[in-house]
Amino acid sequence: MGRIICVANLKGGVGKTTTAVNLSAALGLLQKKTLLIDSDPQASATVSMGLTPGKDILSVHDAMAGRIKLADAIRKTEIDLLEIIPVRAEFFRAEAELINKPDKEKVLTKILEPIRELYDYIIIDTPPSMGLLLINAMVTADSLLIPLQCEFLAYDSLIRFLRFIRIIKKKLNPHLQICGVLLTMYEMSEKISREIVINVRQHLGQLVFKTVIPRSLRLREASGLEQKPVVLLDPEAVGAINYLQLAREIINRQNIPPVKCDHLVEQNLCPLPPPRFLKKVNLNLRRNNEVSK
Amino acid sequence: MKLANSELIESAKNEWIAKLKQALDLKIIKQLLEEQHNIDINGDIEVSNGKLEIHNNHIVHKMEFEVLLSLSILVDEKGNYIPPEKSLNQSITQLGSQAQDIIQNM
Repeated sequence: MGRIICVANLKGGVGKTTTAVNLSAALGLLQKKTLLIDSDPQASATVSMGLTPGKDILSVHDAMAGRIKLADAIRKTEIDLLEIIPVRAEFFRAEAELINKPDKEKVLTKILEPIRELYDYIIIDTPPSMGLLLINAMVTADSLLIPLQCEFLAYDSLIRFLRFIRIIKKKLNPHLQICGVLLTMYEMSEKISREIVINVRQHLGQLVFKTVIPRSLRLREASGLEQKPVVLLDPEAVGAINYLQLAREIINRQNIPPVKCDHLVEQNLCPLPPPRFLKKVNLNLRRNNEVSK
Repeated sequence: MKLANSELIESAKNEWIAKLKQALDLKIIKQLLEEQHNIDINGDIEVSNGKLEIHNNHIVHKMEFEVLLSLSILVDEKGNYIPPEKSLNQSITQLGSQAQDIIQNM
């Protein structure tokens, strides 16, 4: 049965889509059959995977509205073991179509059930608002991955999101766990960035991934200009190495119980993987390229 | 038993301090001091004294600086002291505690 991870945060611009796209690609490269679902009507994950979110595309929201089966919207990607369900860039329609549905918070759960067992991991990218699309993703998920930008306002916004998670757990999905908090856009030269990393680790302990994603031009270029996951485009870039490391952390870790407040977890900010690991990733890439030719 | 002329030692020391002063990058030192003490220094800084010390079994040069600081406190109309607003560090710590509490009560 596939493990469903919802990448979510109420604040925009904290690295949700970059994380969903690159984590999915990294899991695929690490031989885990993965499905990426773009549930955000901004369609950034769809674009980042090289698809055009136009009218002709079958979308996850078509399936949620009952017009198609979810399986019909699945698309292959350049990575053998990664598939995607894209979304059309329709900002209001998707939410509006759900409002009058019975069990409107559980629509995604129901339509995902028949295909869930086909995958090792299902990653859902979500919109940054407390609407039905986010609620559906959180009700469907086994666990939440929360990207946290290393900025004061993002940390402040995390508190509101944690309260929201508590409500969803209490009313709609008692099994929902926090898979981990991922520190993103880390800027070593900024004092605030360094202080937030230390503080989050002090207070949330094991809940925080060891992997930290630094602010990176290459990551932005990959999703914006090249429209490919950086792990595919440039596997030796720092961002790619970090997302591969995050994928390994997720594979190795089960959902962990709420905060055990040990003191500073080892600060392993931007470690490089062992050379043997890099070689393995390159081999996988070559194989994928051969297939696509 | 006197082995050297004390005036010569004193003048060599002053000469050494004068040369060291010229070699220091005062802009960077100002930034370091601001960060170290979490303060804003007004104007330039000046070396006020220098001496040799032992630090971790090594001889080091200890340089002392004079800086111009503006410090203030707040007093209300009734003459009561108004404590300063929380520092960023305190705010971050408070957020951390809140996050921890919410997660522990989930």
